[in-house]
Parts: sequence; structure tokens; C-alpha cells
Amino acid sequence: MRLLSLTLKSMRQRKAGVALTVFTVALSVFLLLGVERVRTDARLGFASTVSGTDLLVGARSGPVTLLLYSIFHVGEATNNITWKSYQDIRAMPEVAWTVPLSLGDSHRGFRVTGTNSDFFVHYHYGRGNALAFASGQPFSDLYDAVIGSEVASQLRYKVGDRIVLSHGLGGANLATHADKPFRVSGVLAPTGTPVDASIAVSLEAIEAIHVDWHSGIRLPGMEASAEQARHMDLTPKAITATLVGLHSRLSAFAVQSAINDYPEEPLLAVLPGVALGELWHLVGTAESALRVVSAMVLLVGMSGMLTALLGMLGERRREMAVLRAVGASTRTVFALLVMESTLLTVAGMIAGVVLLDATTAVAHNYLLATAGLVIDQNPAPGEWLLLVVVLALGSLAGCIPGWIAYRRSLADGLQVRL
Amino acid sequence: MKASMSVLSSLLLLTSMAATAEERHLGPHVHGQASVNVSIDAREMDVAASLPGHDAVGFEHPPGSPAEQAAVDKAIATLNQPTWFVVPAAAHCTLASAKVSPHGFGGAAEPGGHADFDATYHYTCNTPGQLDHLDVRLASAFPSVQKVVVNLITAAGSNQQALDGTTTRVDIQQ
Repeated sequence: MRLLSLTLKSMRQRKAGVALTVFTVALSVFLLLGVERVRTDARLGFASTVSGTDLLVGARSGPVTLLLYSIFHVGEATNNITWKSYQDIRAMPEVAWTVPLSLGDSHRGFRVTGTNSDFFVHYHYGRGNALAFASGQPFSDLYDAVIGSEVASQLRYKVGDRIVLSHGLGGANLATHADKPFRVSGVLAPTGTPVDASIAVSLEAIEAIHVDWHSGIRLPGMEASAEQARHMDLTPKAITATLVGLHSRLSAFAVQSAINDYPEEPLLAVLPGVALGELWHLVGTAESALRVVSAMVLLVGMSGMLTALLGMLGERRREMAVLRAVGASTRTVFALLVMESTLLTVAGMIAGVVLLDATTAVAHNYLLATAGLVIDQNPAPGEWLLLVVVLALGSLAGCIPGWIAYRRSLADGLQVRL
Repeated sequence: MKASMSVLSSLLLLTSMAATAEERHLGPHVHGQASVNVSIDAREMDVAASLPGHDAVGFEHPPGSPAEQAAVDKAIATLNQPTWFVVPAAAHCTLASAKVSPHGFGGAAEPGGHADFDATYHYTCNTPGQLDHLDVRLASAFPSVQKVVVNLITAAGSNQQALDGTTTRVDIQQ
């Protein structure tokens, strides 16, 4: 106890130095844990791009291909699913809900997804978060569109704006659906998923804008106006993929195999988590890169911390000699130095964790909106281990000057160096 | 009349094609690789295992000798008592039912010419919260199995874990 009060008193004499050392340790801990948190959250965020969906069904290709085109909007579908097959899947007794996805059109580089309003109820991401509206509401009229947060911020759209969809990926400006403009009925809150960069309209709307198109071109003389299209049969003929939710997870594998063996049409049902895992396996180099960065940060942070601690303790040569002169044993001097560096490390660690939590709380929305990263305030599983390493290194740092002081003679510290 | 005859004959042709149309789907079949599907919903756990005949008994045809028949019976018995599937004791799970169905070891050949063993199990767990991992020791029960692919679906989502060599542990996130 006397040691502790002695250490605290000594530290009070050197406030500026102590504060700087604590700050250095805090920055190292902040960087170290920050990189680790970004790494784990990036992986978790990716793995839960779709959650709460039991099966993802599309035309037979491969799990990663299906995931890429239907959820990430990368590449094209190999085939569509006919409306009849979709109805058959819906009618399966184990199936609780389905959300159709119809892709193919775009608006100024952003993909358009044809779906129904169940999309806003059943599409979950992260830890079971449903889609939230930043403003407006789901589509209620045929020519209503709901836009993702990135679409809204990049194109500066708001509820009530009129937009025109392009046919296909919109390379040629000629192929637009200018005769049937859409009204923005809602803007979604940022999610960090591909939904942010997409525009959702109803399946009937997709059908309506193509009602006078045939074989990929608009038929001259057969134009149907936006109003006329409302009264036509807008039952879709095909969709690209569908999300499927089941009454019980126990039936997931049975339904998956029934869909995969569906005789009328070659279909593929995948467990979204399994496909996401496969895809992450492919892009996992990014995670390895972050791991390397994490290791380098650990090295640099620890060196900085050691330098600060050692520099500070080296200055106390005379103090130690005086302590020895008034009767402190070499062991006491050693313990004093180790205690000081441990105290500084603990203080730095607490400050670092507080700093990190404060930063994640403040930057959460900014990171979500700009980088699509969901950084949680929950500690990553590896953090405790890292903190133990930091503490051990901090205490060890005190041992070095402690050992030097232990070995030095009393006279060495009392001599005036010129 | 002639026209209607030709319509009729083409109709007949179509129906006969439909009647003789065989289903031409073939699932994957990888020797040395077994798959185990585990789904957990509240207190219920369903397990389905599929094992190529090549790895279970060493051949993929109806047993032709008493020795081959004994091998098939032994494989069925091993699968019926899933000691290779170890659930943590703390979860208090009991095996409610087990069903083993050999395909391609009876009279009729399977499409694709391969033979498999499929087994399904149903467990009821009293403390499913303790179900944090599983031990799948299919590779030690059937030494010819090189790799076990475990597909898992729980409240936390789905994932796939491949067990190679001596690894048996499957982590469960609830």
C-alpha cells in the first residue's frame, strides 16, 4: 500500500510526462482494438448481408453465382424462374413467406429490383434488423419506387421526385422507360448492404414498363401509355430469384432438396449463410490483409508504448538513488518501477477503450453511410487477449529500468553527471 | 381430315414422350466425402447424414455374397446407433428417432449407378441453450471418409463447416 502511495506521489510530480505516456498507450490500444473491431465487424457484416431468410432460390447455377446476382447485384442471372414455379414454391406447406426479386433494369447506374411490399417486412440484415425508412413509405401506387440511402445521397433524390428507369443496364440512353416515370415514395435508412445502392419497385411495375416491349425492343405502334398499362394484365411471367422463409427451420434441408429436385424446371436453393461463407472464403484475402495490418499496429503501438515508459523511468535515476539512500531496498525500487509502468499501462488501456467506444459511437452513422461498414460497440472476441498482451508488455517494460536500477550502485544515481 | 390426323398423331407422340420421359436429375456423389445436415429449432434438432456406399461398405451394388450382405447390415447398424454423433451432455438431448435408408443396395439400380446410405435422426433437447458445439466422428466410424461437410441452420443463420482429417468439432452459434 505504501508502495502505491509512493508511486502516485512520484507521478504527481511529473504530470506532463505521465499524461503523455498514458496518451501514447491509449493511442496504441485504440489503434490495436480499432483494427481488430473493424476486421471482425466487416466479416460479421458481410456474413449477415441477408439474415432471417432460410433459403435463396434461383435458376440452377452455383451458390456463389446465385448470391452474387440476386443479392449483391453483380453479374447477370443465368436464367429466370418462371412464375408458375414460383407459385409452386409459395404453395409448399413448409413455406411461410416468399419475397420475389426481379432484376434487369437500372437507373443511372443503380440496379432496380422488382419485388413486393413483403420485401420491407422480411428482408433482414445484420442481427435481424428489418429495413427502416428514413423518409416516406413502401410503394402503394403502381409507379412508386423506394430508393436506397446511397441512391438518395448520390443523386440527391427525396420523396416525391420523379425518376425514369433505363432498360437493361442503361448503357444506351435510347433505351429508357421515359413514357412511364416513377415517383419516389420512400427513402430507406442506410444498412451497409447492397440494398443501399438499389431501387425497389413492384413486380407489376416491372411488368408495366415492359408491357409494350417485345424481344428486347419497344414495338412501334403498340405503345401503351402509363394509364393504359394500369388496366392490363400485369402478372409477371418470370422472376430472377426469391427469398424463402419457412415455418420451421427443421424443414430447411427437406425444402432445399425438394426445390433442387423440382422436375419441371432446374432450380437451385441455397442456404444464404453457406453461400455467403463460400463467397467470403473467396474474398477472404482482405481479412488476411487486415490481420497483417493488425499485427503491424501491435508492433508499432507496443514499441511506442515501451519507448514512452522507458524514457520516463530513465529520468528517475536520481529519485531512485535518494530512495535507496533513505533505506529502500533494491527490491522496493524494482517494485516501484514495475508498479508505475503497470499503472500507466492500465490507465492508458482504459483511456484507449473509452476513446474507441466514443469514436465508434460518434462515427457509427458516418461509417455506415460512407463505407457501408457497421461497426458495433460490442467488443470483438479477440480484444481481451490483446488487452492481456498489452498489460503484460506494459509490466514487462517496467522490469527493464527496474532491473537497471536494481543493478546500479547507490553512488551511480547520486553522482552529478556533467 | 388429313390435317386433323397429323395433329392427332403428333399429340399421341407428345403423350408417349411424356409417359416415357425419365427424370434426368443427378445429385452430386463424391467418394470420400460424407455430408451431415443439422437443423436446430428451439428444442428440436434434426440431423440428416448421407454417406457414399463406397465409403460405408466399399462397394456400390446389391450385395452378392454373404460377406457383402454382412457389410451392409453392419453399416446400417452403425448408422442406426449414432455414437459418431456426440451432443454435449449439458444440452440433455435424447435421440427420439433414427431411420436409415440404403439406396442402390436393393434390386433396382439407382439413377447414375451410385449407391448411398441416408440416415435421419431426430433429437429433443431439454436445455438447448447449452448446445454450443457438436462432435461429428463419422470419419472414425467409417475410416474411408476423408471429409465431412456439415451444413448447419440455427436461429443465428446458416453456415457450412468442413471437417478434414481428425477435426470433429462443429461450432454452433445460437
